Amino acid sequence: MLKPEITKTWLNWLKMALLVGLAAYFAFVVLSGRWAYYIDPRFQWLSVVAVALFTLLALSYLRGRGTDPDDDFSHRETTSLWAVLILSVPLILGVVVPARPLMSSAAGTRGVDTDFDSVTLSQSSSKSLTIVPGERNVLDWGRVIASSSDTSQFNGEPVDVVGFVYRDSRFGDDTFMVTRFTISCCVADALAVGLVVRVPEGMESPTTDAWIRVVGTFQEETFDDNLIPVVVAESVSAVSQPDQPYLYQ
Amino acid sequence: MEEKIIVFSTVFLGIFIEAAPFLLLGSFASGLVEVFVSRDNMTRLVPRSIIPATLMGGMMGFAFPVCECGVVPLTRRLFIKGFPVSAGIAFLLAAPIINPVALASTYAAYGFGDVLVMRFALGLTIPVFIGMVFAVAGSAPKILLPSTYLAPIRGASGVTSDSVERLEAIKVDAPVAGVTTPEPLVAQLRQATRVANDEFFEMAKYLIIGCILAALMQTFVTQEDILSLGSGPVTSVIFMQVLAYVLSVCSTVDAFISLSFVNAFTTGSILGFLVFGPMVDIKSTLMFLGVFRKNVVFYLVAVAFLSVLLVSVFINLNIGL
Repeated sequence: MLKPEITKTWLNWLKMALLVGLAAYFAFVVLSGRWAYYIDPRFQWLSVVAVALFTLLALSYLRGRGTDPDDDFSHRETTSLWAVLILSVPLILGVVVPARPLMSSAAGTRGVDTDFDSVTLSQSSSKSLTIVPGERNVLDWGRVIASSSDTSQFNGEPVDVVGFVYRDSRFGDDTFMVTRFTISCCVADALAVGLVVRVPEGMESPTTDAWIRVVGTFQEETFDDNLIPVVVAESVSAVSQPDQPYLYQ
Repeated sequence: MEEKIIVFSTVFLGIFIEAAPFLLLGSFASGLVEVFVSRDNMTRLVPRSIIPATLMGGMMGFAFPVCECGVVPLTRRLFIKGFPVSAGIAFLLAAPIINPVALASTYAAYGFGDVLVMRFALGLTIPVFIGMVFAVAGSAPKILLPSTYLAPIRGASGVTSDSVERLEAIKVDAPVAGVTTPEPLVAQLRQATRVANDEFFEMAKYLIIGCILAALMQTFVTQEDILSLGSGPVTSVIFMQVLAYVLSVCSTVDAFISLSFVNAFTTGSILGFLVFGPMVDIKSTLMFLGVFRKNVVFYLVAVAFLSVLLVSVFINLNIGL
């Protein structure tokens, strides 16, 4: 492999700068609330640990350099400029690419279930059952519907949920899905959960990827050859993207 | 396309932000081992014969709360300290599964039952088995990279042209046991930080390339593509193992993720996911390249994949929990 020529001193300064940059980026992710685009809140403290350890590593470049021949950090040829370049990828992506939570375009490759096969049925699903229908979010509804065998039992139940608009080839102009991603660790395991919504004639249908609040009632209808509870919308209003765009399993 | 780049960036940063703290912790653990565990300790503590040594390597997984990112630098350091190859491989593969954090999250997801017990049992026996396979297959210089096999005792872990000489020089200079004046703790901790630093830079590049590959797969390959493999007793296991490899989710939380598949998939395939994923996935495969020779990395992944597949299919066909 081509090895760019660079003096050890410069390489050390670069590595230190990189560590400072990573510490600053992790601190920014935690403080700005940006973490909510990437990880489950349970793991936020790990990012704080990372800030501390990156800082410690960066500081170690300042202490005692040059006093002891063993303090020369790069004995090895393997820690080349390439390693530094690869390590700067997270910083470059974090700074240059606009930060956005996963939306419809990601739901495409992951698929969105209308029959809630993929909704986790863990201990927390019983918790969703105890929530008043009007206060359940998309994931709560997914769990409740998945744990029931008779979908007609939801007829007439009030729905009031927030999510983004998802459409694929199964949807017409007057139907869409009000959708949220759910994560249990980080976005690598994100799954989309959604409720099928039908807007009555005369009401404007929202555009794909818009964040909306849907108020309506369930009605058992046939969708994509399945009998499922469909939300018949009474009102669809635009809302701003929630601070925590994902729901947590 | 712009949309795809944003999705790629979000998934990449998600995995990186989740994994980097574990890699840092693993690097510091490695630094502490370097400073506080001597080669002499190692030869004293590790049994001579292969079977007890490998078992010990596997069991050590209990003691270290590391996932598959943190365990790689730690294992590398153990090798540098003279840890036997078979024991190191058993530790490398078992620790992400049987460590207290992973067990606690499996318990939280599944409660006490078949899945927890089988995950633990397989997570110990399969790595020990693979460790022994490699003990029979070849000697340490054939399996490990030169930099993990021969390294200077102090300072960075690589081999430079003069490292062997340095090694000799240090041996000659080393004071007779018993009259050593202990280094001050601060100096030792500084040395540990320095080793952690080297370790981090050595491993982080593999982690990042792994995150890039995992994020690319997640952005461009649909789960339906993988699902088209089918859901029979054999194909479902292959699907779940491939998925575990591709998702590259941290072993401390993969139990929660597997819950989403419990209804649709066989128990054997869930176990395949829970046992194979922590042993190897895209990012850890790349990190292995910093420890083992290239062909060994290939065999390690293949042997792990096939042995988990075999056991999981057996469970599906004969036990059907």
